[in-house]
Amino acid sequence: MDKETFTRAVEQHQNSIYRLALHALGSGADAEDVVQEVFLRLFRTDTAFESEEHLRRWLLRVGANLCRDVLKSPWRRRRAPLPESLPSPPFEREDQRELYEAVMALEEKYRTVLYLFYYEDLPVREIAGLLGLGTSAVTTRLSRGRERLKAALKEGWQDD
Amino acid sequence: MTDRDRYKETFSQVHSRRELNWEEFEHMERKRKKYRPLRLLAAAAAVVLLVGAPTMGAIAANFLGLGDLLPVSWGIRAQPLRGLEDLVLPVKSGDGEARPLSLSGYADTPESRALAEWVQFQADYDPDHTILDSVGNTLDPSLAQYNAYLVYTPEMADRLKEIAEKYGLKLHSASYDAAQHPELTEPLGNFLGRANGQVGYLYEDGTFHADGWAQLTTDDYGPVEFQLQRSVKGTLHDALVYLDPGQFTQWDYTTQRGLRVKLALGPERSMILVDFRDCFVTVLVLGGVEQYVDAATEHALTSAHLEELADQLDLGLLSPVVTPQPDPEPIHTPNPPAGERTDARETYAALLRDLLNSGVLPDGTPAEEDPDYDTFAVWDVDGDDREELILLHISGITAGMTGYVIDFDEGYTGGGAPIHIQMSDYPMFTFYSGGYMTAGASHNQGYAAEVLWPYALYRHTEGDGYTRIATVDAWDPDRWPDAFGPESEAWQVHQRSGGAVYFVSYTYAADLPDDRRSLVLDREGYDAWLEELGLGEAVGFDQLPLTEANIAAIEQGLSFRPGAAESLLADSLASENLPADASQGVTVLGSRDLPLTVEGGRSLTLRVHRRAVASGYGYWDYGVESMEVLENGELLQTLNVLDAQEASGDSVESGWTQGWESDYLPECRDLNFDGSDDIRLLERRGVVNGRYLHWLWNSEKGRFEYAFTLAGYDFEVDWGTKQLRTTARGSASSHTTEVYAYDKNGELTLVDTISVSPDD
Repeated sequence: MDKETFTRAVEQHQNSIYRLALHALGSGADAEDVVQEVFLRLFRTDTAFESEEHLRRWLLRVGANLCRDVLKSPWRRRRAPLPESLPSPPFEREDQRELYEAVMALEEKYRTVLYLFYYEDLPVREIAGLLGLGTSAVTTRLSRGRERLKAALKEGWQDD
Repeated sequence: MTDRDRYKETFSQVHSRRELNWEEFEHMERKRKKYRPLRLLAAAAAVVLLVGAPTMGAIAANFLGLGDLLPVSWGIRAQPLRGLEDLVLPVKSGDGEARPLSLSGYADTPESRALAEWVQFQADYDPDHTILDSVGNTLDPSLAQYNAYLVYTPEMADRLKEIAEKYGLKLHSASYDAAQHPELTEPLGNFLGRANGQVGYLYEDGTFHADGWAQLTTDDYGPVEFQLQRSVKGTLHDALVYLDPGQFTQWDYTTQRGLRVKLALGPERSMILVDFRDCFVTVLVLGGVEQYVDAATEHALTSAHLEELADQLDLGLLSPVVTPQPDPEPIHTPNPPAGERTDARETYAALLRDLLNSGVLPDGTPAEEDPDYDTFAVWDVDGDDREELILLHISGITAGMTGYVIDFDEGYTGGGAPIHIQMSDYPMFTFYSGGYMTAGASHNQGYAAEVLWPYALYRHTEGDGYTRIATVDAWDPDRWPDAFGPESEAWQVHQRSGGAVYFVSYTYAADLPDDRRSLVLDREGYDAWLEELGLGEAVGFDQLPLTEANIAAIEQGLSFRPGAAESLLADSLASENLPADASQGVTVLGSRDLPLTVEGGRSLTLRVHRRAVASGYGYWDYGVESMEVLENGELLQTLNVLDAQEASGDSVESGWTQGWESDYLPECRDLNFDGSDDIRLLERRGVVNGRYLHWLWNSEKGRFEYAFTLAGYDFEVDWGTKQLRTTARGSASSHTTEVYAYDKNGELTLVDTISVSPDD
């Protein structure tokens, strides 16, 4: 990994990894830690990335695995994050804040799948690969996550 | 606007605030490497003589009849050295000018031809990584032997073997962490010469990788970093680098030690090549004529710098290759030596020090991470009247976590430590008085959801220790309605009971007929199965952090105390139960249950997780890390000190409170006049004042919520005025009482301040 590639990767993908980790962990501080760890692994890797897309998928995969490790660790399972640990960005509109809060109020398993599907535009099969799940599990989570968003946001979620 | 557009529009406003830059990571890596120094010891004299000084080496080699072992590039047997263009592998590569260069030798050698075929196969076999994605992190155990290669299917393994066979090459069969095996790097001699660095890993044939740095004096250049690779011939080694040979200026150079090398100076990277008869050595220099990647200096690298680096290194020592011979028992360095040990605790202490100081786990494998969070206990868990060592290696990532139950083997007289590892598994252990223990699975990735955390069941047998006899999992049909079809037994059990389904799979260690090995049970059946097993009561005990002070304490006879399981009956951390002469830093963990009553007379239990740390002066410092709220034994919520510290804006954020034995436990009392107990916990004690964290019971949500922080040395709850008063001493002996009341929104508000000073 050379400095130029690394710096470009940080510029282009840091926020994506942060959003993924925030969805998975529901804590800004934990998400920042995952960001740091993901890019440390990028710094150390000997992987020769064939393309930007290869790099992006690699980062998402490493990020998803790290989040999974955090979620399953005995330490994490003893902790119940306080609502205060969720960052509150200054949104442009109120409906954006409502969507943000509705998403982050969902259980983790729905949040992560929703993020990868709606934000990262990943197909179900690829999400399944990233999260170590079957495609039917991803589909189920996706549909339940949508149902819950629809219930929470009413008109604010078209379920299209 | 579609949902997707709305989602993107919203979350595009969520940003990471962590600053990441290359220099910071470089700094972190240097620090990390510093902690793993490698002793590059002087090599055996004969080897040094052979290759250390050119003339004497050549004479000695011929005299000894070892001429064929001399490097091709040795000065007196010089032949034209080939350059980077002859390393290019004939495979398709991506866009751009960079080409795949073999680090195993010139492209026409068997090693590089095999490597080219392997690289091409990989590119054709799984071009978009679909197969790799489907395999995920699950490694087929039969493929573990190919861990030196990117092999994740049996088909890839077959192809790899075919290619190696075609070119008459071996495959790597073992690799070693050099930091754990200093004996393997001794034969290398001081090949780094005046430079510095360390070998990262070695393979069974002597192939290795090292990271290094040198201080270049030419033009006061400063430090330069490099990566050195020795690829031993005769083995297929998967290592390459992408560079554009056309951008390099190349020339032959004879070092001050007389070794002929090829030097290549590029824009951002430079190379030193040496082709020996038995190995191929490449030094990839992290610098070039256009850019130097270390922030410490912005100098461009020149030919003079590269020649100076080649002079500093003593690459001639890298051939002939001495095949590594790992110590047959590299596991333990008994202290005291085996045979002199008669005491279990001394043996356990030696094992713990192996982990703490050398990063070696009790089974001899290297720990992936420093044992910063590891804990241990010495306790008779199996009821055989002998203490076992229970070690929980819980540092690092989940995959690397392991727990051990270790028994002292009194009659053992062989080499290594006199121990018997009774069991090891993921370190989520619960011991039971009926001779059983359970180890929770590292992941709950099946269909159990919240019904149950999957676990392995172990049974203790005298003489054999703990044997895994079953694994237990479950299906939560509410969460995963489609997980099992109508034809399955699980579905039928669910239809009969209407609830969750439990799966018990016995191992062959359990002496059972085959038709009883797999049980599919409803809740009632599962409870009956547990009852029939006779697990007994859960056994709890203190678990100490892995520190030198705590290790020394067990040698000095520290008594471990019952922990959470029995803490309702006795306070294991009461000072009278702790050794008065414990040395500084000895830490004892424990838990304490306190009663809470909330609205409607609802009884809850506050389980306080705390520690006592020996000051070394005869007293102990006490602290709390977290508190669990339980109702009828079920966890309702966890209150973490760290979370409250973060929420309160405290810059300390240690995650632990600090106090004396007399005041560190939380007070459970009504602080907002709603009839329910709330929680007030001393966070930090100063000379006079203390700082307190407060959690209030929210009856609507049915949980405690962090509310506020108050400081002072005196605190009063005034039911008459429904006010809180806290008095603190300021500077110059002034005292200030702050009066608080709750506003209509339930927010605590300062309503009055009364200051008193000696002048008043």
